[in-house]
Amino acid sequence: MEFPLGKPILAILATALLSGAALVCMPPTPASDLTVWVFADSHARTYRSIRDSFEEETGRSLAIDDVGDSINIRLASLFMAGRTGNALPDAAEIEIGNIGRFLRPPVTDVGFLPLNQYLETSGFRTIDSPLDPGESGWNARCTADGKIYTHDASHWRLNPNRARPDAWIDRIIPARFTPWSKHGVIFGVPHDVHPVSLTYRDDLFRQAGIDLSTARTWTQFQDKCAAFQDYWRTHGVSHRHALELPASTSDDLVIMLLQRHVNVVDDRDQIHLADEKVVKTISFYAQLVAGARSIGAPAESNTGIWINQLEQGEICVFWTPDWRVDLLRRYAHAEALRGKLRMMPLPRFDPDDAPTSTWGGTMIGIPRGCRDPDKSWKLIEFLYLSDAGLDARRNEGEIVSPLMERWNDPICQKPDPFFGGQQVRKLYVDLARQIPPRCVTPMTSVAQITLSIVLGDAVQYVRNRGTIGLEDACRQWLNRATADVRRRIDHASFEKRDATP
Amino acid sequence: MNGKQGDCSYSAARRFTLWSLQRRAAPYLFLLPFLILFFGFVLYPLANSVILSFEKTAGPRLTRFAGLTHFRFLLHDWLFWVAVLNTIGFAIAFLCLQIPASLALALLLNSPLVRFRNFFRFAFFSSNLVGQAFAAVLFTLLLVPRAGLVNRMLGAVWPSLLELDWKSDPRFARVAILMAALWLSVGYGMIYFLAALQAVDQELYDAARADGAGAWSRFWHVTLPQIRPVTVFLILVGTVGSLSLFELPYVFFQGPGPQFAGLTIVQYLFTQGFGAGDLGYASAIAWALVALIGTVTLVQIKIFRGAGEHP
Repeated sequence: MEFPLGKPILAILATALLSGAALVCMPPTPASDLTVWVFADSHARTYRSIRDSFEEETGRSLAIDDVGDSINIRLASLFMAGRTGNALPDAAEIEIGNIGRFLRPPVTDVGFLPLNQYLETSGFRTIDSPLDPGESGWNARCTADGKIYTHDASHWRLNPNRARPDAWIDRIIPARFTPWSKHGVIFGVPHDVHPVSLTYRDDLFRQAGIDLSTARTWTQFQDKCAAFQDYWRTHGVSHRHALELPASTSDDLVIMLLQRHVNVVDDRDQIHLADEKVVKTISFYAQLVAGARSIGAPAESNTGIWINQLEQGEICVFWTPDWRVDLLRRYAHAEALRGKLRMMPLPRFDPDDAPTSTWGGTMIGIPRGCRDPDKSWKLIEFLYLSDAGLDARRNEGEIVSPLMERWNDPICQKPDPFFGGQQVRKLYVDLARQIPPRCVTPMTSVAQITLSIVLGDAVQYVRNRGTIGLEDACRQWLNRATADVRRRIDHASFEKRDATP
Repeated sequence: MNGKQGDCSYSAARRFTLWSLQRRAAPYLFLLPFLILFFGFVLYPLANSVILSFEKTAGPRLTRFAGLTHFRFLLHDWLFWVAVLNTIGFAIAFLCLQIPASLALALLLNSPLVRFRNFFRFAFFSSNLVGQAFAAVLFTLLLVPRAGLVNRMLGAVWPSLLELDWKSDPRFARVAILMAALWLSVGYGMIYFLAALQAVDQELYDAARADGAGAWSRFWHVTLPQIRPVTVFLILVGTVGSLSLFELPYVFFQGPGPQFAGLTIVQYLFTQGFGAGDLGYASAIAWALVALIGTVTLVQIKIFRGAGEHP
C-alpha cells in the first residue's frame, strides 16, 4: 500500500510517533528530597563521590545537577519570578564574578537566604577535655563539664566571659565571607580561599643566572625579569617573555590592587578608583607591559594554550591561584615541567601590602523560597564543612579550604615533586592566612571595565611618551572614571544610597 | 412518516449547522496553537519589556516607576554610544565584504570550468552550519600569538607578526571579529547567489552575446539586475544580523575587548540586564536597538524602492 505523501514523510511520522510513545512510556525520574545546583564539573564530581554517605547519614535522597554556566540566568530568572518550593534548588553554587547581580535588591529581598543565624548557631567547636590540642584564640565547649574554654597559645583556660564556643562563622576565614555579604548579611558559605602566588620556570631563570625567589618588591621583580629577558634575547630567544600580564584587560591589575587592600567599589558603594594607591599601581603596571622595561605578555585564558606557553618557555611566570595549579597538574605534560617549576609569594609595593591576593571563588547558598531551609543547611554543612566533604575535596585537588583548622592537615607539609620538592600546599596555607578581603557589588564589573579603559590609556601613554607625567595623567583619567562610575551607580541603584560620594 | 421526515430534516439541519460552524471555526482553530505561542512568548514579553523600560526593578515585588530616566541616561551613556558605533561600523564593513565575496564565490562555483563544484559548494557552506560561539573558539585558537596558525603563517612572511596580539589592539580585534563573521556567512550568501544565478534565463545571455556584449557587460547588464532581489534580501538579512551581533565577540573576548572594540549593542544590553541585573535599563537599550534596526531597514527599503525595485 502506498502512503499518499511518500516514504520519507511516512518515515518521519513513524519516528515522531515512536519517539513520542517512548517518552510517554518512560518512567518518570523519581523526585529527590534535596537538589543542589552546581556550575563546575569538578564540584559535581566531588559531591557525587560523597552522595551515598549523605543519603545514608540523613535518609534523604540527593540530586546533584550540573547546570553549567546557565546557572546564573536560571537562578536569577527564578528569583525574579518569585518562584518557591520545588521550582527552586535546595542549594546552589555561584561563582564570584556573578554574585553581584544577586546582591542588587535590598538585603531583605536578595534571592538567597541570610545565613548569619545558621553560621552562628551551628558547627560549635568542642573538646573532650582541657588537655586536647588547640590553637591560640580558639573557643570550645568542653563536653565533660559543658563550660567554655579559650586557648591562650599554650593551654585551654576556662573563660566565663564567653557566651558561646566558636561556631562556623568563627571557624571560616572572615575575609572569604566578604564577597557573599551585603551590609553584614551573609548569603553564602565560601567554598575556597584561592590565594594567589607566582609560579615560574626556575630552570630557565637559573640558566640566566637569576634567582627570582629573592625578589621582595615589584621593582626588584621587574629588574630580575628584565635581566632574564635580556639574557635570552642575547642568546637568540627573542620570544621569551617573563610575566603573564595583559595590556588591555584589568584582571591582573585588580589582583594587584586587592593585594594592596583596594577594592575598586566597596560594600558601601564607595568608589576607590582615584585612590593614590590605584594611581601608583596603574602607572607601574603600564610600564610593566609597555615601553623599554616591559616584562609582560598576554597569555591565553584557554587552559591548554597557557600551559603550552609555560611548557615552551614563551611566558615564564604565571599568576597561580590554587585552582590553576590543579589545571597545571592535570593538563601539563609532566615530563616537560616536572621539577622545573617553583612558586613564590607576590612581591609587594609597600610593606603593608599582602604577599598574596585572590582570584576566583565560589559560594553555596540557600534560595529564600526553597522547600525546607533547615534541610538545605544540613546539606551545605555536609558538602562544604563536614570531614567527608572536605576530604573529598582535598582528594580532588589543590583547593585550600576556608575552614582554618584544616590548614593544620599534615598533608600541607608534604614536599611537592612537581615543584622540585617545594612545600607548595604549605605556601598556599601561609598565604591564605593573609588573604585580603574582596568585595563584590553589582557595580564591580562596571568599575573594572572602566579601569580597563584607563589602563589602555596609560599603556598608550607609555608607548608614545614614556613614563614622565604618567602618574598625573592617570590621576586625571581615574578622577574622570570615578565620576562616570558614580553616575552609573546612582542611576542603577534600586535602593536610596546612604554612602556619600 | 412525517415524524421520520421531521427527524431527517432535523438531523440534516443539525449537520448543516455543525458544518457551517466548523467551517467558520476551523481557520481559528488551526491558528490557535500559533496564536497561543505568539501571545505567550512574543507579544506578552514584548509588552512587558516596554513596561520594564519605564521602571527600576530589583525583583518581582520591587519595581518603581522611573519614567524616561533610562532613556535620558541612555542618551548620555558614552558606553552605549561606543557600542552603537562599533555595531554600525561592523555592519557596514561586514556587508561591504560579505556580499561581494559571496557573489564572487557563487560566480566561481557556478562556472562549468570548476571541477568538484558540489564538493566546494558544500565546503564553503559548511562553515555556516556551526554557531557563532564555535567560530569564536576556533578563531581564538587560530589567532594565538606565536602559536596560532594565522600568526605562524603571517610570521613566516614577516617575523614580527608572529607576536601579533589580536585581542590587545582594538584595530586588530575588530579585524579578527570581521574575519570570523565572514568565515561563518560568506558560504551562506553564496548558496543564495548560486540559486539566483541558476535561475537567470540563459536566453538573456544568448541575446546579449548576439548583441556583442562582453563578459563584464553581460555580468553588469544581465546577471546583476536578475539577481537583484536576492542581493536585496541578503543585504536586509545581513543588516539585521550584524546589528544584533552578540555571541561572536562575547565568546572571543570574554568581555568588551580592548578599549571596548568588541562591545556591541546586544552585548551591552546583556551586560546590563544579566551582569548588573538592571532589567529596566537593559529593556531601554533593547528598544533603542529596535528603533535603530527599524530605521536602517526602512531606509534600505526606501532606497531599493527608489531604485525602482520592490524588495
